[in-house]
Amino acid sequence: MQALMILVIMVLTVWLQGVVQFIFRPDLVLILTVILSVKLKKEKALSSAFLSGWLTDALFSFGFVNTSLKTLTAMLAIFLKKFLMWPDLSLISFLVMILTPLSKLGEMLLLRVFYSQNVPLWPILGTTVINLILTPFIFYLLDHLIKSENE
Amino acid sequence: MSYRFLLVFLLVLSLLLNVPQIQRSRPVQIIRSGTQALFYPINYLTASAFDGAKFFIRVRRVEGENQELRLKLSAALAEMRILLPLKEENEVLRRGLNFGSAFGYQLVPARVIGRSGDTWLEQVTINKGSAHGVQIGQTVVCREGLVGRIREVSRYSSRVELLTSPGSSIVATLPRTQNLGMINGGYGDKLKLRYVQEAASIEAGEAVVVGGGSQTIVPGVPIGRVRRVTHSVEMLFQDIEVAPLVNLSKLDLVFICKP
Repeated sequence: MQALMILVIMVLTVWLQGVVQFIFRPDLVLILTVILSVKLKKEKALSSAFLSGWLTDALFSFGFVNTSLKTLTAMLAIFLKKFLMWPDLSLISFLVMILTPLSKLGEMLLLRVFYSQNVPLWPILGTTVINLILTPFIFYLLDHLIKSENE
Repeated sequence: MSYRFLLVFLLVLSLLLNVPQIQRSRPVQIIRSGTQALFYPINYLTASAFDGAKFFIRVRRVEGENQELRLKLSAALAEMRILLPLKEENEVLRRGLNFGSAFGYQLVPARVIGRSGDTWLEQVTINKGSAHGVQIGQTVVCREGLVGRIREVSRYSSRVELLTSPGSSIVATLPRTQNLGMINGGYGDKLKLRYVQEAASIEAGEAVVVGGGSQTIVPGVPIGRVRRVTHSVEMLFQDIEVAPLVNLSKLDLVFICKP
């Protein structure tokens, strides 16, 4: 049941990310990836991250940059949470704060390496700020739907 | 499956997927197309819902705009209805001013406020009187020409004797030949020019204006045009029928010539 719920949330998030046009585009999939990385077992979190990245790429993108980035984001979040014994919201907010710019820089790098594309740097700050603003809301929304599976 | 193995597998796989050759490979294409096909109904439905919402919003906006434009149109039409008579009045006043300055008189505009059915072509009442400087005998004109003269004056209104009135008698001249005569009313909507000698050469269509010998009427004001000339060997004078330039049945705005 939990898996189905996660799948539904993932599809909705990917759809929102791809369909809704924001002025400053938040990275909703990244926020979801971080939340799942904190709340779920690491194997499930990693697979979910890969799947959400794949869905984003398959439906709304031309390459597979998101698949790589979301997997890497989940990996880093799982790695960092071991050292930070903070309440969930603080931990997730902190991880979103550092992983959003890192993810964007990774996106720039991958796009340059694999697709010879130059992405501007300036949206990084906007996306980070808006991600940080949205994180508590998304967290409280998902907190009731996804049970914590921390070992 | 251990976490480490899964991590390495997914990372390597995700990075390899970005390699163009692998990306274009048949299995990757099939999986990608399969995912898209799987999500096509969701995408289609959400896109339709979005389009529907946008359409609804646009219709509401257009409806609002339409209502606003209708209101503006109604207001503009109402304004136009008010402005059109004002425009006509303005034109009449402008012509009147030119007319007045040409004869060296000050023109006092006045509106016809009354006329009786039994004296329809004889007299009219105007809304200016002695309070406005109107005096008996002053010439009354409109943009086309002579209307008549003031016969009675009260404080705020006056009575104008029209050209066509039976009692009206005005010295007139024919500018082409300089022949003098007397314009008389009492012939319905027509006038008679009398006392023009039989020998004078008068033609139909010729202009008739107020003569210089007139003591009360402003000289040179157009009266009408000769309609018909009748010669008779038994008479000393010609029988000349004149059509007034002013349609005296439709008087509205007139001007009193103040010296």
